[in-house]
Amino acid sequence: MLKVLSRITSPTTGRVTVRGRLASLLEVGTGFHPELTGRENVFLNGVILGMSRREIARKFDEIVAFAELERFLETPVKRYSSGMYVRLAFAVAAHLDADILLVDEVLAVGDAAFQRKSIGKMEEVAGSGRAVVFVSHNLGAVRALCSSVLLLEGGRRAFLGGVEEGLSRYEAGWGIEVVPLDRRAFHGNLKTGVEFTKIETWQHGSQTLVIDPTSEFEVIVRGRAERSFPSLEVNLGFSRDGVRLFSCHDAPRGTSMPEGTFSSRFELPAHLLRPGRWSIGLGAYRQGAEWKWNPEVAVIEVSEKWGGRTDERESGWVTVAFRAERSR
Amino acid sequence: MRQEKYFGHDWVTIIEPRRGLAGLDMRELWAYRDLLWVLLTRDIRVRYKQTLLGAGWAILRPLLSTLVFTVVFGRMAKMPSEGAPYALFALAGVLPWTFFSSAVAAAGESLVGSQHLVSKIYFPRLLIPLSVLGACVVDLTVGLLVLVAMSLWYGVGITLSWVALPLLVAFLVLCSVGIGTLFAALNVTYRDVRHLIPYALQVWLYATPVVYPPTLFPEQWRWLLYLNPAAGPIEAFRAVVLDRAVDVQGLAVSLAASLLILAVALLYFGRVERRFADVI
Repeated sequence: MLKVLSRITSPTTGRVTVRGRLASLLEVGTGFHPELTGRENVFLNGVILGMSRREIARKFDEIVAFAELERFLETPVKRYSSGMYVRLAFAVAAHLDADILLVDEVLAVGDAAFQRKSIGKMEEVAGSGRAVVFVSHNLGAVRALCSSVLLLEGGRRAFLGGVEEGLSRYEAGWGIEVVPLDRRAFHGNLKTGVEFTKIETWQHGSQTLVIDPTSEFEVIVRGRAERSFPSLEVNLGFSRDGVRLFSCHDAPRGTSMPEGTFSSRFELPAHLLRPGRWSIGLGAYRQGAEWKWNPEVAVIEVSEKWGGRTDERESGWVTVAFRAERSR
Repeated sequence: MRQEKYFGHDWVTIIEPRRGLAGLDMRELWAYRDLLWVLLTRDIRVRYKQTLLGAGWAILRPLLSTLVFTVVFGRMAKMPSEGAPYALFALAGVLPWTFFSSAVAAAGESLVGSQHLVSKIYFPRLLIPLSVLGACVVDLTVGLLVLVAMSLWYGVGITLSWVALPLLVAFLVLCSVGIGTLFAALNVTYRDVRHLIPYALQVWLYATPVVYPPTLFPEQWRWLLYLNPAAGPIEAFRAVVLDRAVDVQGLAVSLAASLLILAVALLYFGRVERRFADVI
């Protein structure tokens, strides 16, 4: 939707009417050139985002002060740390004078103090009578920033209204529908014989796709074996950003699978997955190297119930149950 | 896309699926002139960053080509040069040729090289292949200084007709924009173009009167040479520098070919532009 609104992609049907100047921020630092200095990049990026050169010149000092990079203006940005880079980029974007600002989840960058500053700036923009369209899976940020929520499901409007109601619908809405398992989406040489029909995630006694990381949850896989296998295991994998973090199987190697329906239950511990979106992969493996696999049959959202540092992306994707103490 | 005044100061943008031969929106291009300027200067600034010789390359490259051509074609192949010193003859051809070929090569790669921009932000995509021209113009200008020096060295001197050179450069811009945008747009969908461009340009060099004079061809067939849109302006450029008569007929044939290619390129570009972000 953002791509259509920002006119990057042309819609196939439908019509959008935009009243006012629109600026989109699908990424911070669009068009930054590593060889150019901070100063040159402010102009480059600002114009790319839709400001005129005169406008940038007028706001230049403000932008630089916001980014706190006065001393490094003449340094090529390739020598910047990633934090400095993002600060400069966001500073430019924050000074866009658009009536409507489209923002993707770009706030998930920079250090904590700068994130607060950015959110503050966005609130200021929203407060000054301009519209901010914020697209995010980060429920905390949505709660903090937004005044109304549009929930999209399969490209259609599922809900439009108040924030709290929207968020609870979002949390509940996930997982009511069983994810339909497309058999074409599996690859591997085990083409026939085992079909998966359902995958469900359960927590606190109800089915959900939003997982509270502070307690354990279950994944239940249902399917049918069209013939019996002397040895077959069902595999489950968890991945993020295309990297599989770990996988598990439902039975030891050599366990047989009789013909008929089956259901495999995986119990996963609390305090394992850090907040964010996780892809669940599903597959089957028959001893003798026949297998099928789909790296993403479902996507779950691990919510941000964790306090403290555990919810920061920089601290890793998973954690373990550990014990620590300090002494003198 | 339409943009119009709405309640005085605000404006309304209507985004709808585009169908058919959506042409070129000149008003929109003009609205984005600041972006074009910034992209042009970016390419100029970045061009010789972190090189030892810096802009010296703009002098060295045409000189090196001239040297090679002079040795190979002037000395060894004894190519005629219409009485002028072969080195000057070659340089006067190499300069506009380098402009044309580097503009086409850079434009052809430009869209694919700017994926990060194309998929993240909206602006008229035509600006990207146009933006490579800045650096080429700067290189040509620096090269002209070398040409002036060499003309004086050989005692050919500079005549008043040199004022026609900017016009011929403009003509070359027209021709390289046409071919460059066509390559750029094709390259988005078919990356084959990327591999084709260097070869095409190599062959093209020999199809253009750069190392040889057009008088090598019999007069009644010479117009065929000028179907190559680069041939007209490059030959005219050299004729001006060497103070000879310009083949106006040839220039006209090349101009017609140029305009035809430009029209086709812009039409094609306009048609596929909206798909770039999805395909790139």
